[in-house]
Amino acid sequence: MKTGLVTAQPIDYAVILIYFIFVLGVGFKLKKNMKSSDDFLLAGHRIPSWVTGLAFLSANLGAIEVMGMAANAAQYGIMTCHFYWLGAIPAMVFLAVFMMPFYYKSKIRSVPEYLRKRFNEPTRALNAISFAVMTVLMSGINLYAMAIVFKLLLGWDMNASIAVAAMVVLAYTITGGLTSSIYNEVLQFFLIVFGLLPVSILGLLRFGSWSAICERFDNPGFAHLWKEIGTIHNPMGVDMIGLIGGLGFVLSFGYWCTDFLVIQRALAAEDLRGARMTPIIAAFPKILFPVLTVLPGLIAIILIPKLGSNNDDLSFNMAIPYLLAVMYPNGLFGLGITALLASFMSGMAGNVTAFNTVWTYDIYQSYIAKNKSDAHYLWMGKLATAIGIIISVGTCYLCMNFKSIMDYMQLIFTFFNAPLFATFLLGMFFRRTSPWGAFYGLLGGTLAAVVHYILTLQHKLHYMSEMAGNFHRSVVAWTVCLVLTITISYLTKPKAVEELRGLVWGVDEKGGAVAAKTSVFASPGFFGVILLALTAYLNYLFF
Amino acid sequence: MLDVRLPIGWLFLVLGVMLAAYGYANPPAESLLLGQVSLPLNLDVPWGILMALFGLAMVSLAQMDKLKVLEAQLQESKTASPASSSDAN
Repeated sequence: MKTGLVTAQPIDYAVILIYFIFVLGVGFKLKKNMKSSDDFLLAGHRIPSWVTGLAFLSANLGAIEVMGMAANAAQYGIMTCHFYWLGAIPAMVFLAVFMMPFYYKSKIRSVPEYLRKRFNEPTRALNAISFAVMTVLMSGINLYAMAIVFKLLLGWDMNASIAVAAMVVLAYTITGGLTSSIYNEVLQFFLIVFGLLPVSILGLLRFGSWSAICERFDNPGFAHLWKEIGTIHNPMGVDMIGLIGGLGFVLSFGYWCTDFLVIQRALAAEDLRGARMTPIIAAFPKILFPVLTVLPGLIAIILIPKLGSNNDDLSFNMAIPYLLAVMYPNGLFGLGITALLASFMSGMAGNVTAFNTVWTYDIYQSYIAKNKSDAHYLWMGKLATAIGIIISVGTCYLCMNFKSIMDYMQLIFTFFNAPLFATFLLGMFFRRTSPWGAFYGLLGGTLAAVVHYILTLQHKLHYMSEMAGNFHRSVVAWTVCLVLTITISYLTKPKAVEELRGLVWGVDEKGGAVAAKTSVFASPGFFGVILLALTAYLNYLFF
Repeated sequence: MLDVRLPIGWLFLVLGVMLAAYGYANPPAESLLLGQVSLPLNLDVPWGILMALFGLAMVSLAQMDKLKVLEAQLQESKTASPASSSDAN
């Protein structure tokens, strides 16, 4: 066996082993609570909001977030923070304040189910199938990233580490369902923070200050969010339209406001206020996440200047793993590796638990086997979990053909999430949107993204970077979906107002209970304003 | 249902103690380079202690909530029992 970069000691393996024992223990402890398909797939709507909030954050804290964002920072500099301070935070506030009441009050079990209630069956089917495909494509990324890290750092066999990680995730999701996935995501969240924070602390101590770090960059554009956009120092090669329209609006809002993987965590909350507070609670630590992801990427490019050379062992994706190897003593190294393992497993489990719900409720129960007993759907949920993991292993080998994790993922989002956001925006806030308008709009938007991608591959459309192409593609897909949906809606029959109660802005629920009055200072809107003010300040600080 | 703070707390307590003990028993041969100076900092020890403290806090919070629930139940049964005993009379 090829040896890795680091010689791990028994203490490092012991940390990993203990983590595995706890993760599996949580699943087995929750097993007796899994009595119905609702318990298994929806966590029975009884989880406190601080837990759903951290799970909301942790479910997408997979390989993409941890390794992908650090890789992006090493490649494009601090502009990577736009994913947080321009994209994620405003989108999470928008979800909490405006969209969550419709999701939670309409008592849906999944995002595609909202589309059925608001529009029609075909729109739900289109979204359910594309979402199922997307989640398993995403899930494989985590396994692949994990296997490559362990191969390079510790010399482990890739197939063996894929098999072990897949089996552990299978064991704890099949025993404890969504609750187990959510509980483990919270546990994994704290592990990731404790495991990776020393990289940033040591990096800052080593250089002394942020300005000392900035002085070491070859490209001055690496130290600024906005200042160098119009100059030749712009490392990302993205213009304002791509950045604000593509990343800040379409891709971020599309992901955070419509992706069932994250919405599912909020829907598991015990009441509407808990569901609305879920993204808000997640957004506060999210603002600071660049300290864990972007800063290590920036430190890596200074300490390991060869990073990003055309060599698998030195790809940008390896920024954090290499820093762990260089900076951590044994013991802490085991913790760092466990943190990475936790991030891969939470990312994968998040995808798999979203997949099994959409498969069981939106595809199997709706089109394949209607009117079966709940025990049957519980069994199907478990089977879908196992099958989802097996397909993830397959897509993991597919990922190996792609060079960059982040580009692969944003590409998938442009196909599915970008047009879907236009459908949701119109569905929730424009009463005239008709069922067939939504269906053809969504289909047209997705096809527009595919055509745009083909034209880019054939070099008929040129962009400075893959990322710039993705941002522009998302704007195109969103706009095509929006225009098509509105046009066809005016040509076809809309739903009667009676059928839209509780689903559309301005159409109130019939006889709906008046919500208990809470103080303005405890409302999601108030916290949303604080979050936006903090985000604006950070944009100013690192301008 | 299981309080999520318990597994988190115990995991961090166990890992923290392990890390601190290992670091204490095996001090690193090389000093840690910080800026222009290198310090003989044994990172496993302070970080292990910090993790153990975090774990302890999590377990304590979960236990305190458990006690509160037990107290409330006791209070309820106390207020309910005189009423039921007077009914019986």
